[in-house]
Amino acid sequence: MMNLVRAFTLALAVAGAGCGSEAPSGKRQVDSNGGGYTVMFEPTPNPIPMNDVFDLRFTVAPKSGPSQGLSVQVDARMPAHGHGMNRVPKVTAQADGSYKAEGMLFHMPGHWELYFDIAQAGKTERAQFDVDLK
Amino acid sequence: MKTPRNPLPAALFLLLASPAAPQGYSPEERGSNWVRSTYQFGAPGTAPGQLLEPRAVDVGRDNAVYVSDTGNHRVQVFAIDGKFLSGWGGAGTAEGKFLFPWGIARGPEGEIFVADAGNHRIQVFDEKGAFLRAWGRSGVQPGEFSSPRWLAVAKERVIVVESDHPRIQIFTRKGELIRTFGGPGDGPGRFREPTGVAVDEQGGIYVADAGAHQIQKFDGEGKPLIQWGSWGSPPALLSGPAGLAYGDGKLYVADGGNHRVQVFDPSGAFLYQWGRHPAFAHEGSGRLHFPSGIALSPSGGFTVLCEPLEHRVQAFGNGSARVVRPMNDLPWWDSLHARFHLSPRKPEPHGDKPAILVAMRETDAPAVLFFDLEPKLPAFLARAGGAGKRMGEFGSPAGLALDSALGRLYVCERANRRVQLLELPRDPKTPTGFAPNVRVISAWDLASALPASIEGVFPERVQPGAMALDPSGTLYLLDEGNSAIHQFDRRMKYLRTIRPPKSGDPCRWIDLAIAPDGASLYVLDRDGAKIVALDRDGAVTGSWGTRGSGENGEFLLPAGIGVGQDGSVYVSDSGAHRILRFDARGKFLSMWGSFGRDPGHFYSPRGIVVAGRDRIVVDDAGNHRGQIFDRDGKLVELFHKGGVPAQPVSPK
Repeated sequence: MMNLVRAFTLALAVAGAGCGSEAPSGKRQVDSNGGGYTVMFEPTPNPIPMNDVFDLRFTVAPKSGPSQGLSVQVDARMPAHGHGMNRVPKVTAQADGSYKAEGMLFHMPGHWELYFDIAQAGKTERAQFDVDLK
Repeated sequence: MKTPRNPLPAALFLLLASPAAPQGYSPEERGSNWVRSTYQFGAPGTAPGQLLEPRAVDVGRDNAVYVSDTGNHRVQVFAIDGKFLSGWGGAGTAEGKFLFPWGIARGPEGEIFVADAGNHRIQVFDEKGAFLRAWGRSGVQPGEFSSPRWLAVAKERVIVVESDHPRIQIFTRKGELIRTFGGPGDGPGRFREPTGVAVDEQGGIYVADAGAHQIQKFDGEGKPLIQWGSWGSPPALLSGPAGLAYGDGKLYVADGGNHRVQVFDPSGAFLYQWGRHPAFAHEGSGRLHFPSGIALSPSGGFTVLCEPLEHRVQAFGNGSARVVRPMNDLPWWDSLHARFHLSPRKPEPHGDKPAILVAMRETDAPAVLFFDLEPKLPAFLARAGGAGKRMGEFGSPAGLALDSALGRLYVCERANRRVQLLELPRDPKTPTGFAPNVRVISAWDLASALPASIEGVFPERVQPGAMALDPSGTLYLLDEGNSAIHQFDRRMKYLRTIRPPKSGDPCRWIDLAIAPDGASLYVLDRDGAKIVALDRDGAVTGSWGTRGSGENGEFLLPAGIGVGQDGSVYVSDSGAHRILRFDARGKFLSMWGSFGRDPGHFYSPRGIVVAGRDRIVVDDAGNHRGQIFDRDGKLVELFHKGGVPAQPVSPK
């Protein structure tokens, strides 16, 4: 059964500027919607499985100013369905300055929006990626 | 006016009304259901016995029902069957007068305590309405008040909840301060939007929080004991809980946004519920529409609720509340006739043509809706929101400012105390010319966006409300708790604050509008019942208005303000159900509308904006629709789904 589930694979749609691009390393990169940060992420496993838990390793780079005092939350929604994930991922800062989001799960196929909400000094900006899971 | 609702003989009714608590609750009682009210009374108006947005009730001896008739600035007393008995008060600041009285509670010796919100005080009367004493004044120090709205009286203590300063204050019945606890925030002992309060026989204090959709229980010293509830419609979940009442070992919650009453035991365990949203406009008979105040009769025989939006009171015999009818109608958010209706029309091909964007709040959900008024028929574009604290979710969205040129919308949230920036991207490939999904750009915490100290502004009192954007890109955010306007640039960098001139007169700024050229700012002062005009530097250039009938330039319950291309100022009056038009200097020009559901009629109109070529767009809130008029009040277009059934669908 698990093998069947894993047989479904992810297609990451790049739907124009601001929705993400694929770096040579296979990581995906995008600027936050407010333009203040650049986020680069890579899922584990890659590609993202359907209805199975995965993790994200990601970095957040401010366009200007310090990177201290950042906090990041990761979330995802299916806008056409009006719901999000049925799990709350845990985000931890890593020693190398990157972050890890554990416990992600896209439980059904379709169009997902993956959110990185970056808070610093009372302001939060969102970076988002479009993910089409088939 | 009164409507007896129980066809049963009196003796049988008394049998049914036995306060004895059953040991268990059936699935029908615990599930979605409908219970016929025993009595129903009230009609919108200002005459004795009529009501205007009553917010709270209590029940005294002989089942006399004391109603805080908030919009009429008075207290009215009815027999349980709706017979009008007496009333007192009226708008004013003198002893015995009120400005938007809210909570009302009967003391152990029969005194009537009233939270006089607009005058920032508690007033006490005897059962016949004779003034006894008052205490409190505007301020944030212990013993002072910032719009006290809800209260409970238990033995020797009076517990007061303030809406603008989220804390609890406990006084003796004479008004001597005993202690203060609470404050803004999340977690035990903190509040987002505290509302109703009740006390149990052990002195435990229960406080509802409409912003957090939860109930908190404290001991008599204010120590947090239990918290329960989150947003939702299934049993035990809450949506904007308002009034609380305690009796017979149970806590009764007016679950406002869910249009029902929920009953819990003192530990927070859900017991049973009753009430459903009206199936057709103004339906009563046990259907509930945003119930606010709730009270139990001293004998325990009746539960009494008031519904501000319906200007009425319903009384349920607690025995008859056991006779329930399961209802299989849809949850309210899926019900076609219980929300702001989206246009069912197929959008006209629009491509990248110019658009006239209009955004409206859908307070129940909560959400914001985007429409384009440029097509011949208004087109629905997108919806964003949902209850919560995460980005893209809302906690009591209170103000919107649309940056049409960029397709961006600022939303300020009272419960989350922040401003979010959303974007509706253009997409020429879609029929509407816009992408179907709204993007969240940024969010700013107001505590960080505002300076720590602003002259004349109490940080504890900041209550974000209406917003507006001027042509230069300056964002105006109205702070209702301080009657101030904070200015920001487009990136929410603080610029300065505008305050009303010091006069000592009652004042609560609740809406604002900016003239198209950005030279004039108009502010709606609800408590002063007037419009204040300011120049771009914040200097007052004029004011007009007087409290009255809502006709010929007088204001009954002014709710919203907008400015046209020609400088005309439009004011919606939710009490008079009409729109008033003035010239830029305050000369009354015309008015239109009256209470009703037909096109051109209104049911508690709220927000008003002037879009494009002087199209007056009115949020006809009670009718769950938008209406568009020309400057003379001629109806241009409705945008809504309609679909309310013509006939009652309540069970026989």
